[in-house]
Parts: sequence; C-alpha cells; structure tokens
Amino acid sequence: MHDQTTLGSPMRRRALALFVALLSVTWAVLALSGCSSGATTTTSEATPTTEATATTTPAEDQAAFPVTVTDDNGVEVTVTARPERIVSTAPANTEILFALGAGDRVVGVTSLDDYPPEVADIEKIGDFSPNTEAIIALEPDLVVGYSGNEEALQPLVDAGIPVLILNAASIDGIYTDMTIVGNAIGEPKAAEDLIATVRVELEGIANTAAETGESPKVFYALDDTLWTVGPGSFVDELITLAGATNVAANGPSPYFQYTPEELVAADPDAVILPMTVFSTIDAFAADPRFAALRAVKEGRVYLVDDITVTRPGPRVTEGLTVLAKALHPDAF
Amino acid sequence: MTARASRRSRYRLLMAGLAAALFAALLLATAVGAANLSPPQVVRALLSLVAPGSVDSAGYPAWAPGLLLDLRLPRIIMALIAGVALSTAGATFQGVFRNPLAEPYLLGVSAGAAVGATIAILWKPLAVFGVFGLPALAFVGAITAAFLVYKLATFAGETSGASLLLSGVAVGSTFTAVLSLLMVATQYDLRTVILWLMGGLTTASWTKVKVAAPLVAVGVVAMLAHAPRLNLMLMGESRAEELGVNAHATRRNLLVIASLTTAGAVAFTGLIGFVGLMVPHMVRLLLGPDHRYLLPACGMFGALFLLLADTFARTALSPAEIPVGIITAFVGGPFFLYLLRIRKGV
Repeated sequence: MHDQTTLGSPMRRRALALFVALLSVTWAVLALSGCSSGATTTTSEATPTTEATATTTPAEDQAAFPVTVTDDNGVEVTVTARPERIVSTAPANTEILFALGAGDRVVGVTSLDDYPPEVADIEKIGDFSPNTEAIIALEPDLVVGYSGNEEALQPLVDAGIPVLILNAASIDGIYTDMTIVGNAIGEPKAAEDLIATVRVELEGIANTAAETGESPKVFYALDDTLWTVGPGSFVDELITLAGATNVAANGPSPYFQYTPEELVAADPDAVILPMTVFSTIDAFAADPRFAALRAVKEGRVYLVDDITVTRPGPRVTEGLTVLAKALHPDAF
Repeated sequence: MTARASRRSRYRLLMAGLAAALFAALLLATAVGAANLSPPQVVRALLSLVAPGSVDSAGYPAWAPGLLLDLRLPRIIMALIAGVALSTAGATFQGVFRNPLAEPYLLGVSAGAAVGATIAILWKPLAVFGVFGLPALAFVGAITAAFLVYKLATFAGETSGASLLLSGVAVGSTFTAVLSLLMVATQYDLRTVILWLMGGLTTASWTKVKVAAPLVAVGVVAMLAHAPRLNLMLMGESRAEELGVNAHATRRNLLVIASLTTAGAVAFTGLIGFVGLMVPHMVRLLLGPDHRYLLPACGMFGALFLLLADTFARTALSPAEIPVGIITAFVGGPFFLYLLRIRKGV
C-alpha cells in the first residue's frame, strides 16, 4: 500500500513510530505488558477497618437502586439494578472492581489485564480498543470503560446499557473513580473503606520518605529517547509523594520529550527506567552522552517494575513503594 | 468489431462474476464476527428485523438483531462505499495524469484530507458540526491539495502529466510535514489522530454511512459521465483537444470529482492505502483501458476487495482487530505481481 509510494512510506512509518511512542507514553497508564507476574508481594484489596465492619448494618450496606453517578467525562449515568454482569475495558478498572469485592461479577476484561490472577479465566473483549461486538455478546448490565473508548462504546449506550468512562490522572482521580464505581455497583461502603485504606498507606509511605529529609532530583525515562513525565502526570505526583523532585516537573505538558542537553544540565541524583520499556539499565547507563551524570557515576540508575506506578488503580500504594525504595534505598 | 464484442462479453462475464462474489462475500461478512452467532441464528435475527414476529425469538440471542443492524451492517456498507470510492478515484487519477503511479496518496490528496481531518479532530470548536466537521474539512484539505498541485503544474496554460506528478509529490510532502507538525505540537489528542491515520472501519455507523454514501455516489456518477472524455484524453491532451474535448476543463472537473470521492471515504475510514493504486491496475489488466467499463468494474472489485479484507481484519485475531490497511497491502501486493506475471506470459 503506502510502501509503494515515496510519500506514503515515511508518513506511515512516522505515524507508526509515534504510535509506538504513545503506547509507552500517553497510555502508559494502561500498563502494557504482563511482566509483573510474581513481582508483587503485597495487595491492597479492600480490608475494611474493624470500626467499619462493626457499625455497618445490612440495611446500610444495601445500596438503593436505581442510582445515578457522574463519570469522569461528566456524563450522568443511571444504573437501574445491581449490576451482575460487568465488563471492564482497562486493567485499572478491573483492579478497582476486584478491590471492591465485585470480582465475581466481572464477565469481560481486556487481554492486557494481568491482576488479580483470576482475570486469566475471564472472557477477553479486546486490547486498547474494546471490541463492541464481543462486549454485546456478553450481555453486560454495566460497562466500566476508559477514556478513549467512547466511540467504540457508543452503541452500548444507545442500547441502554450503562457505560461509565473513567480517566484518573491523579491520586484524587483514583479516589473519585473508586467512589463512582462503588456507587454504580452497589458497594459505596466498600469504596469508602478502600479509599481510606489506600489513603492511609500512601500517607505512611510519604511520611517515611519525608522523614529522610532528602529530596533527590530524579529523571523518569519513559523510553530511550528521553520521553518523560511532566506536570499533571500521575507519575509526577507519585515522585513528589515519594520524597523526590522530578527534574521535568516544569515541562510543557504531562508527557513530553526531554533533550539530552537539558538532562545533562539538570544532572539528576537518580534515574528511573520502567521495566515495561527497558530490559537493562545499560540502555541508559552505558550511553556515553550520560556517562558524566551524577546518577550514572554513583550507580543510582534503577530499573523498576512500573506496572503499579503507571496504573491508576488500588495498587498505587505498591507503585509508590516501588518509587520510594528506589529513591530512598536506606529508608525502605 | 470482434475485438470490441469480445471485450464487451469479457466485461459482462467479469461483472457477473464480481456480482456473484460480492453476494457471497456479503453473506460471509454478515455471518462472522467477534460475537459468536451461528449462521442459523444470524438468519433468524435478520428475519426478525425484516418481518417482526415471523420467527421464534428463542432462536437467537436477544441482542443479536441490534448487533447486526447497528454494528455489522453499517460496517459492511461502509467497506463497500470506501472500496468503491478509493478504487474509482484511483482509476480516474491514473487516467487524468496518464501515469500508473497516480493515486490519491501519491498526489498529495490523501495528505491534504489527512491535514483537514486532523484539524477537525484537534480544533474543538468544530465539534458543533458533529460528524460533518471531519468530512467537510477532509474534503477542503483534499481539494486544496488537488488544486495546488494542478495550479503549480500549469505553465502558460499547458499542464503535463510529469509536472503534475512532481508538484503532487511536492505538495504531498508539504502537507505531510504540516500533519507531522500538528501531531508533534498537540500531543493531547494524538491517539485519535493516529488511529484515524492508520485507517479502519471499526467505528462505522449509519450516521457516517448516510454522509459518505451520497458523496461517493455523486462522485462515481460524475466520473462515469466523464468516462468517454477521459478515454480521449488518454491519447494525449492535444489529440483530445482536436477531437473537441476541453482538456483543461475535463482535467479540472475530474480532479475535483475524484478528490470529493476520496474525501467522502477517507474522512470516515482514515487512510486505507493500496486499494486506490492497485485495484484499477488489476481491472485494467483484465479489461483494458476503456473507462466506461473500467470504472464500474473497479467499483465492484474495490468493494469486494475491501469487504473481504475488513472481514478478515475483524475476525482473524478476534477480539483484537488488525488495521485493514495491513491486509489490503499484504494480500493485494502479491496478487498484483501474480497478475503482472501471467500477463507477461500470454
């Protein structure tokens, strides 16, 4: 096709290159590969506090339907009855559903889903792009979609199936999503508890990090061409919470490309490379342009398991732990 | 006389064959998909749409009629429309420029449409026009590119095929650069733009069909009306002028028409390559260069080809989808080479 023409070929290649860059950049939140298997040790599933379980009566726990929630696109969605067949179109959504104790009601997930292990046995409805036909065939009574899925999910909306679009770009955004999903599936109390648990854990890690009294300058590499995380990105917020300073925090957009000159001038104390993109630290550390960086000379280039760092779900606590361990190796 | 008769009978044979194949392809495309419906279930669900109450509703899942009506059918129709549009526009461009490499992509028309569509995606105020914003801007982009190419290639009232092609490449490169710049400068909606550029029929809907179908229909009819003049133009511009054809006007009209047709499809499907370049060549190898036969056969062949390619694209790795452009290139390239080989052997 385009390859036969002189004009089409570079255009398509550039589009593809940008596409690949985007997979690792703008959509990093969806966490691309399943290489986290076995690497995780703690779970932050909903563990209701003793106080909560003691005071909750069945009547309070029983949420009333119909319920109307407002999703992250500002769309009001009415759920008429307790959903029993839920489809999730993003790994983060799936994790929220499971953490709220609704895992047994999830009937469809994406092929990118890797947590919890039960998702392996659930019907797959596509990857980044949900397959509308496959979703309809599952006869869902609730679809928890992700930003960018709107057009593919429109036929479901037209068919009267409640569709929520989530798009968390911050930790508060995760809490909001947990509340939205909790209300929509009839588990508002579980959502409150989950948020409280996550909040306490995040604060604990942040306090430990703050107590070190250090705030190392860090560069977070999204790929080997220096794409990085800027202001307003989820990872930037986590870096701050982990008691560090993102050298790219003053960048022009949430995800942008740093230049080698800027990086040498910023001379970060530490460099973080995500495992979903890098296989060894040498991809960065062995680059002669960066040989003089303090982080390289002091051996502070870290390869981290980044699935939980970039996925806006309940395991954000693990993501923060991963970063805090790399940035304050003595305190964690 | 005999040559003409044999060409006509060959044309009839080809059209009958294509019609039969198209019908079979329609059946296949309706029967298969990510949702596992058996052929009897599909038939029953379709019957329930055509004649409500005629079939027992236990014979198919309750969601099946809606799925067929609102997902599969518009997608199938869109594949047919895009196939017709790209292949007939390609044949016309090749005729107008008397150059086998001429096609929307090489002439910068696709790049122009892409810039228009990208602006429509990125420029939020345009959202008030709904589904019409994108095709309108894609058309403006396509026609702008086509006219720039045409004007740049015209010296002292003379327009040569070679200079048209060269200015096409130049204008196309410029538009591609603008497109890349837009994409780099606005990273926010990049994903939508890239998915559009990669091309595909995933988001086909009746609304889009209703906009694309008339545009493409008008374009194809206008191309057919110009077919006799286009045939004369093949002998060279000055010969055509001697035979009473206003070569300048014909060329200009056909540029506009082919651009409109291209934009009508490309606006909703993104850039699907290969069809516009190769389908006309395949049909020309079978039928010869007479546009009165070439254009309708191209339309049929293009529709069949894109429908089959898209059906494969959406079922091969289901529930994941393969961008249809990959299929069209992968299947079409070798087939085209095969046709060239037998042609040489004869």
